[in-house]
Amino acid sequence: VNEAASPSGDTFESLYRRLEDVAARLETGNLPLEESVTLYEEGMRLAQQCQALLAVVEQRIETLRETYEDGFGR
Amino acid sequence: VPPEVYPVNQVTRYLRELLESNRHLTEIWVAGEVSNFSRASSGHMYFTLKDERGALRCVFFRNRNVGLRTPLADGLSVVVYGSLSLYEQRGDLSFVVDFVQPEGTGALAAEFERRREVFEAEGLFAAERKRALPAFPLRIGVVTSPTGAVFHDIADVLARRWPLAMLLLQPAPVQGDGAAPAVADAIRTIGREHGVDVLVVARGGGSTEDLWAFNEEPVVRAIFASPVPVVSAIGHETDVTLADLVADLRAPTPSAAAELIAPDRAVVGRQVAALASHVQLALTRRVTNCREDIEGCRTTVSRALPRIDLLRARVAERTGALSRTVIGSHVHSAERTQALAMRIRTLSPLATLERGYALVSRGDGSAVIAAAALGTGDHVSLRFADGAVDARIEDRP
Repeated sequence: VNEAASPSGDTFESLYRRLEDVAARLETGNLPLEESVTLYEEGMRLAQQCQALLAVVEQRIETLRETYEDGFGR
Repeated sequence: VPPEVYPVNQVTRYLRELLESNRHLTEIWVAGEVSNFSRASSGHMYFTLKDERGALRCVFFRNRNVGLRTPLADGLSVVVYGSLSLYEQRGDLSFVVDFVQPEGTGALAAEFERRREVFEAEGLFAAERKRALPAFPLRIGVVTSPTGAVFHDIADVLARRWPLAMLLLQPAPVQGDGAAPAVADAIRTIGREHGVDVLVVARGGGSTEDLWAFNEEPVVRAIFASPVPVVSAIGHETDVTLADLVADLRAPTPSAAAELIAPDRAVVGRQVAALASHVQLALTRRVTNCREDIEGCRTTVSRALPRIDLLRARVAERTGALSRTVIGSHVHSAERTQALAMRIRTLSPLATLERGYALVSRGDGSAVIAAAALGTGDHVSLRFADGAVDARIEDRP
């Protein structure tokens, strides 16, 4: 299982950055209509994936082995 | 056997080596009063440190005394840090000073200051090497005591703000003998082997002595060498350790560290929603632009319309001329059609009937064309020009 990652394996950060990029491209670039529609669809999908990741309820905690004990004989 | 005779320099060298290898005489703190202070043109400082029963010649070299905080003067009570040595050319014993603190400074505080200056000079605390924390951490490492409230405080805050991240606790004793190397080892292990993208080194409040492990060189060096950004949260807000100074970010408390390393998911959720609405608005605007473009085209076409009307009129004019020719031929055709119709009409049986003839047929509609085909009692239909009557054959010889 991947932390903060969508089923596709993308991390929250990569999804969020792509969403930002999509928004910026749509807002600034005078793109062809068809491309705008494609970007819009991608943006909506990314926003949905981000919100799904943010909806995680359970925190995962792992306690690692105390490293200093072995080899140093404290 | 005659006694062995040594050259002076051999004796002085031996004496120097003896002094410099004695741990009771090297890297020690000495308290006393400054007298015979002088500052040579070379920048080196010389003075005698004395108390009521002893005196020690001291040298404070220029490379060590630059940036000296406490200006030295005769009569000043100080604590100095350094090592004893021998100036071989003159056989003079001298204490080589590394660091000076005004008297009254606690031993720990003086040592803290000394180390701070050493690490600072080395660039370990430089602002330009502080790293930015990840915006959306995935794996958060925590080095702290497995017992006590610190880890729970951090986990509680993160569960609320950013449960997306996995939390890895690398336990280590944070107090007492062996704490410093254990903490240093924990920092190295979790930073290199567990793929965390940010690290918290934390300890709850305590006395200066309790927190001392976080002023120890192994811990400072381990934080400095960490491959990922380190946030320190040692003791209370008023406590500052060398670990705090070398960390990429210092948090006043462990809970505050958790607030600093992770965004609040509610805020991030609103940011995502805002981006999504930007995307929607941008598309709406794009579609509106397209509509306007089309509208623009239509206007251009409309403006060209007067010319089209002109052309249409011209076309109509030509068509008129053409029509007249066509209509002419139509009139001619109509006359001919009428003549033909007349001829067809003369051939029709109806015209014959009008002249007084009648058409004889049987009930099934078949025409009777010979008297021989009829017998007595047969029913026939007689069709005249204006209608038909039924008849029966009475007498058939």
